[in-house]
Amino acid sequence: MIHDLLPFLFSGDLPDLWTRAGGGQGFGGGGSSGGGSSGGGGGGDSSGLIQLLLWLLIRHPQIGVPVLIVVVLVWAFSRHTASVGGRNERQVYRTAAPPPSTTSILALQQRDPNFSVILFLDLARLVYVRAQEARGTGELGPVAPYLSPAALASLQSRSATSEVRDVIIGASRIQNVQISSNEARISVLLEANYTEKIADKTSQRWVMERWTFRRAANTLSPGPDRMRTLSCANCGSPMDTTREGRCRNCDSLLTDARIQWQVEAIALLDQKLLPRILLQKGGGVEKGTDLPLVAAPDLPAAARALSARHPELHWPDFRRRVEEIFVEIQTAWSEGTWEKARPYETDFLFQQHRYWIERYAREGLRNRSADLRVTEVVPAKIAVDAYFETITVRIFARMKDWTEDKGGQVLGGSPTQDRVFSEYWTFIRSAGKAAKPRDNLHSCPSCGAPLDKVNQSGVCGYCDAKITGGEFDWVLAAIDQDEVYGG
Amino acid sequence: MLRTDEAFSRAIEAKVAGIEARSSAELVVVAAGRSGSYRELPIVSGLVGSWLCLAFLCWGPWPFDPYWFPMDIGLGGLLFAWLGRRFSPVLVRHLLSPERRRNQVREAAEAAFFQESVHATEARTGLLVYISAMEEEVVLLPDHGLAGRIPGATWNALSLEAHDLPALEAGLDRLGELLAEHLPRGADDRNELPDAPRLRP
Repeated sequence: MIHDLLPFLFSGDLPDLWTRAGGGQGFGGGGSSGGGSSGGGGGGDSSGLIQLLLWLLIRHPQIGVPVLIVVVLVWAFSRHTASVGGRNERQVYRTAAPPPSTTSILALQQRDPNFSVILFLDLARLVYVRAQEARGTGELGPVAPYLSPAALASLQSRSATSEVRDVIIGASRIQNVQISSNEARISVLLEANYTEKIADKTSQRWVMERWTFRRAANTLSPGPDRMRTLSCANCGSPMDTTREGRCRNCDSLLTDARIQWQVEAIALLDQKLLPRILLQKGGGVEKGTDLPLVAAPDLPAAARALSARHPELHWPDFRRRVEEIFVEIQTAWSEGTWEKARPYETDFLFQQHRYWIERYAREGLRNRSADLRVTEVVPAKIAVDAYFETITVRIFARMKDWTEDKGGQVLGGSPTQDRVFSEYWTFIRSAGKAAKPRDNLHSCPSCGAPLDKVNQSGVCGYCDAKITGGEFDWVLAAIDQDEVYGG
Repeated sequence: MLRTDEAFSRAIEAKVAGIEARSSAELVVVAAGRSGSYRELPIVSGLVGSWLCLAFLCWGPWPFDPYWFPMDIGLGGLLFAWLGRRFSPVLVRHLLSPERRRNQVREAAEAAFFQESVHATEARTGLLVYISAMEEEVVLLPDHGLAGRIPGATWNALSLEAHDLPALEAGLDRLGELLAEHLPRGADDRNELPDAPRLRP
């Protein structure tokens, strides 16, 4: 009876009825992080409010009943507004101040004008993957100079493993930047999956780690060719060091974090065996879609500066490029022909999405979509560094999105009900190049040939040009969910 | 140290004209004697001098009547402050960190960019070459049109020397080659900003 409920009402032990189980957020325990998520309706963590409402209804119905009526009316109105795509009242939230890490990055760029967040994260991910793989083989090889003794000891203290492979980084972001008089430290939060073999047992593991990189603050960062490969930051030759940590080619000392970033500390924050993909049926408005736009505080000025740098770039052309790429990627995802998305994504993003397709396939699942419509593309951030121009837009779209098994049974999402969602997509282009998007999305931006021979490394099979690094046209570098994107 | 005299002006104006003959960039050269007052140097010098005077008065080989202490300490401080001001170029180069000097020069360059209207070109292809003689620093500030055509890393890799005129001219030659490569002069290009260098004390 009702008395049996009283202990739950006052103890806070009510079950979490609205736990979010899918829909574009959980690399370790949920749907994919972009490019076609499994269906996710609305809902969130409101157990405390529900508990309070129940208490009011039972103990003080003269208050609880009117409150319940108001709650139902507000909920119904918000659903109605979202379903008709009404967005006139959407609030644009301009950050009062840029995130602390952005401010610190600007300070770092004052000391190192060549510092690029894009290239730094590329290096961090590369070092992470190679270091994890080295845990299995025991041979550090070219990654050794990037690991301090403390970092190396931290890696070696983990469970003895004979093999680590298929390391896929699902998410990576700069968590903290600290600059002292002569040193800079950057902490990177990494979320990854990998397969490891301990004794004779192979398992897939999800981990969240924080890797802290250290380097002299006034060092000028090298370019993409030395930040995207494990090579000597001074001369660019493939990493080959003496026992003292000196480059065999130019004799530069590479192990003192003076000319290149080095991992100072590693913290394993969380780990678990990789769970199965969780799915939730139904369509509707995905969580976070109604969040206000997070726009960079300098967006108007940055937009004017971009227009001055590139008078040939017009917003309608860029928006068209965004929409075309969006449709191409969603179509490739739905058809399971992920190689078609290769020309439009950077290496990291492509590997990440390919992992998701393969994981779905391993679990006998297939994510399908239909009736895709882009309803709005809104700029959120424009930036430029020594090597890249970046534009982040928020894309609003709706489509039929569902996940089915091999027999065609729908396990998640809905093939009949629209899913409404938004995501932040970041595009990059090499600085110093013309910024106007090409008219023909389906030809090589270097030679004009068809895009049917682009290999896994993003190299056109006709002209041998790497077309996925931003040198020839805008390419997609990152996808962030609404609730994750912070500017 | 670089001397900004008549010969300097003629040489730089000719160099700028030569660069603009091959490129659509518009160069503005500003040559400043110094980019900051560095008032902290005379102040610190004065404080050090005052302390030295006090120490000498207290522990020196001769006794001094305390009646004279305030005046002696004051005069000693003023003397050292004057010396700090008189020899500030030496102190700036040897006592201030390179980062401090660079930041000071950059701030002055950014102000000069506005004061000299480097942005007032049709295609936003202005380029400020700001030379600060005392700090021996050169700052390049391209306008948006140039920044969009030449990556930031390329600008950062350019280093112009300012310790004497031949070194500066050699640096401008390298700059001219870069500009000619990335922004070749068009048929309808015109000289929008004066070529003569702006000299500042």
